[in-house]
Amino acid sequence: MKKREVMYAAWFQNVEFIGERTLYALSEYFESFEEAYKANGETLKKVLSEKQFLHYIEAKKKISPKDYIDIITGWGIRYVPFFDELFPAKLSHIPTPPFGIYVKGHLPNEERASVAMIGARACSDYGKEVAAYFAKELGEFGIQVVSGMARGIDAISQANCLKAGGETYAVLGCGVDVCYPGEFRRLYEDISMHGGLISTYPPTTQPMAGLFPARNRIISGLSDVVLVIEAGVKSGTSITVDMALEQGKEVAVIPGRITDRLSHGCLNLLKQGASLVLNVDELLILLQETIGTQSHLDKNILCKNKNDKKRIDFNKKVSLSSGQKSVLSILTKELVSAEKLYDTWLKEGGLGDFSYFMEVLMDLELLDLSKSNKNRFCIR
Amino acid sequence: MYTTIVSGMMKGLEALLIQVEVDIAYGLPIFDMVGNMSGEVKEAKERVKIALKNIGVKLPNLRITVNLSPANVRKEGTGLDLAVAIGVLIASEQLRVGAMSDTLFIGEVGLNGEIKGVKGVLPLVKFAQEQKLKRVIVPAENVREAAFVNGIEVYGVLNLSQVIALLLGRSEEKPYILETDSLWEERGVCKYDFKDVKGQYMARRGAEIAAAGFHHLLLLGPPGAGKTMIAKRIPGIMPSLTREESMELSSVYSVSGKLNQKEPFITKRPFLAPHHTASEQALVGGGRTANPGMISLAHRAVLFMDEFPEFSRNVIEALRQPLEERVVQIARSHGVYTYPAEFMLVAAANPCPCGYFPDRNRCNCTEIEIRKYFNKISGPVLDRIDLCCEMTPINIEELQTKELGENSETIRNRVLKAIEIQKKRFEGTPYRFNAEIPSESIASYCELDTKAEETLQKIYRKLRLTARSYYKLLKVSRTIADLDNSEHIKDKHIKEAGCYRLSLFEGMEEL
Repeated sequence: MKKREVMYAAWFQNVEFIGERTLYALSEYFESFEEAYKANGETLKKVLSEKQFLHYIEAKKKISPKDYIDIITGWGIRYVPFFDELFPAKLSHIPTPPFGIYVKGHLPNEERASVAMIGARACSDYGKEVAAYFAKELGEFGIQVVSGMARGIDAISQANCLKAGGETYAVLGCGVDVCYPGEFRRLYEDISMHGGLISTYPPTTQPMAGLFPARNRIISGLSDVVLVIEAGVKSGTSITVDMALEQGKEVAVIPGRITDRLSHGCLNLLKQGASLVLNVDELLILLQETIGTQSHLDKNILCKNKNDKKRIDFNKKVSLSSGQKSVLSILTKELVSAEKLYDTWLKEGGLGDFSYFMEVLMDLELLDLSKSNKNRFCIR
Repeated sequence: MYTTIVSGMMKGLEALLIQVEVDIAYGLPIFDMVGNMSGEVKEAKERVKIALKNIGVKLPNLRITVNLSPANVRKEGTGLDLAVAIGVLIASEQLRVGAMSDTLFIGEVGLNGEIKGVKGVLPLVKFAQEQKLKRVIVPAENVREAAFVNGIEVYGVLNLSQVIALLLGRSEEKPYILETDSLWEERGVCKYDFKDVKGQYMARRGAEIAAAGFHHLLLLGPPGAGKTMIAKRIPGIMPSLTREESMELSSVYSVSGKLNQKEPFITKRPFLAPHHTASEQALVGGGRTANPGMISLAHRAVLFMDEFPEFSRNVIEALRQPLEERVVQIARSHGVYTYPAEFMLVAAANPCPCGYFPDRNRCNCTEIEIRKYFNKISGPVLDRIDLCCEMTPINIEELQTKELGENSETIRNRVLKAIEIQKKRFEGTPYRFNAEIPSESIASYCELDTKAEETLQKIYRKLRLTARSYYKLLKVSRTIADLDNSEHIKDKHIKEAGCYRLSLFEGMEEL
């Protein structure tokens, strides 16, 4: 019985111009979706508009519910409507819960904690590094990372969570069988294996700008804490944050410099009272506090012993020449061009020509004390 | 009567002597020209006939036949006019002079008997001299470039009457002597000096290494960082042109008609900066008669391509063969034209489409956009570029500083020493600069000491170099070692070279 209901609900959700509100209305008016499917035009028109009705007729001619569910199952996609027992409880609690979701892979484990990691697409090197750090740590702790598989922070977080052996869930603004952005094909496949791709849009829906803001409420809805890494003042990230606040989720923010445009969103959130986290331990404490109020979660997940983990010792004992020391002292966590560094070095009293300076920079890189990217250098 | 006059024409950079044979015999009064001629050569008939009439020569009412030999080569250009006119005069016995087989005639004839300048005089005169001709008569307009060739008497003429007087020995005209000294003096002077460049240590050093080893250079930087400024100063730190180099370069300019009275031969290394809308033909050469392109005009000098990724893809692709072979071959149905193209490519590009990456306060470009931007430059072309320098915007303190940077002369002296070392190293080989060493001979030219070898291994692993970038790194270190007057490549040279590698695609999409 239930299975049939899911089948008919899936069919109805696939009908063009029938949105979530209409679907809920249908479920209230009729006893079951099977009944709605078989109802006569007059009855249906009480819920559907003229346009929707025409599309319903059209869809009925095209494909039967049985065929439809068989096709998407064949694609490895599962449809989970709100009345299904698999439907995430977290999503039922949010204002305007989705009617049904499509999943490729599996749904987040409700017994375990999950963190949404969100941020700018055109992120800075700092943002990348921070996202990678948090995602890796979370992955190692077995905390699920939820994000949107967009370019920038999203993709970096998800990829690094997977790298650390964690599970990650991507909520897409298109059908779950569509890989957008196309270049993340590899990441897309990996997520479907170790986590899941989730969407409220029927399969084959192509990405459109209008579809993305709505999926943000699912990202925050599926998580316990929303971690904001880099965000402009008016951005997709700020939409997600608004959703999260509306849903009563805890929002954690990583601060940035006041001069960076991409920090403004984060700093404003902090001003408004979001929690500031400086490292993964602080995030874990926050997570614990949040989860503490929700008894159904397995708290043990956070009690893993952290001491056995290998960490890079920043104070590694390497004997450096005075020149190397002076160059190392001007390097920061941020990638800076050799040109600017040399200038700073001269101002700080460094002695030597440019070729000597370059030589020392390479020395430091070979000693693992610094790293470079496109002729820009920073400390490791 | 029959007579032969020597003239010549250029086929690309290849000079060719043409025998202008004129025969006057009984028959219908016709002026006929034969010998595989293009349009402008056929028209010589009309120009010569009228010019002769206008200087008061009456053509006999006989059959005049002109043959341009060798008849199987297509004749082009207007330089043969003068020879035809003189041939007709002699064959009709109106000009009684001795044998003319040791004199080369070049020039276009105007309807009033005036002799006008033509292209390609310099290489033609040089060829005539090599062919042991004694005298050359050229348009006055071209006399100075022709006189750059030693060992041949050069006469410049303004009109036909002057030629006749000269041939009859009635003129006081002496062979033209070109005072080259004053022109040569200027050759070291470059309008732009490195002393005016504030800061920009990396680009300065990069330019020095590029000039010393003739490496191609890529300058990356936001708008206004001074990429063009650096590029313009590179010819000034390259060694002065030698006479042979100047001859090679001047020949190309002569063929393109770019020499004039004021600049009868090229004294300074040129700096060419084609706009990014330049066509393939404009850049590598082309057109119906296969004219030399920018890359040949930048022979032994600098070709600066600003906004490199904005050049159309086929233009950049067309650079591949010249970059590889240092000559450019342009094929036409009637032959293949070869021009020298041993230029130093200085390419400049913004670090991203908007120009401000990695300044995220101004730049909104995504990694994909940046990658797309550089994907316009094909890999094989990037592979030929050994050095990459990143430039940063100049700050106000640097701009206002009264302190002058190191001047071009000091830099040039170091470059000269490095070139001297290379000259000795490559004696008896076809190579002249480190950049030209083919990868198979790198091991024999680039000797490393043990410590350097270790460092190289470390760098190779650490920076995940490819075989190609490994060779480039070695070549650049060789030049840095030469600048340092060091026989072996040392550890520090390798390290410095490592910083100039092309790391455009490194770390992209680091997920």
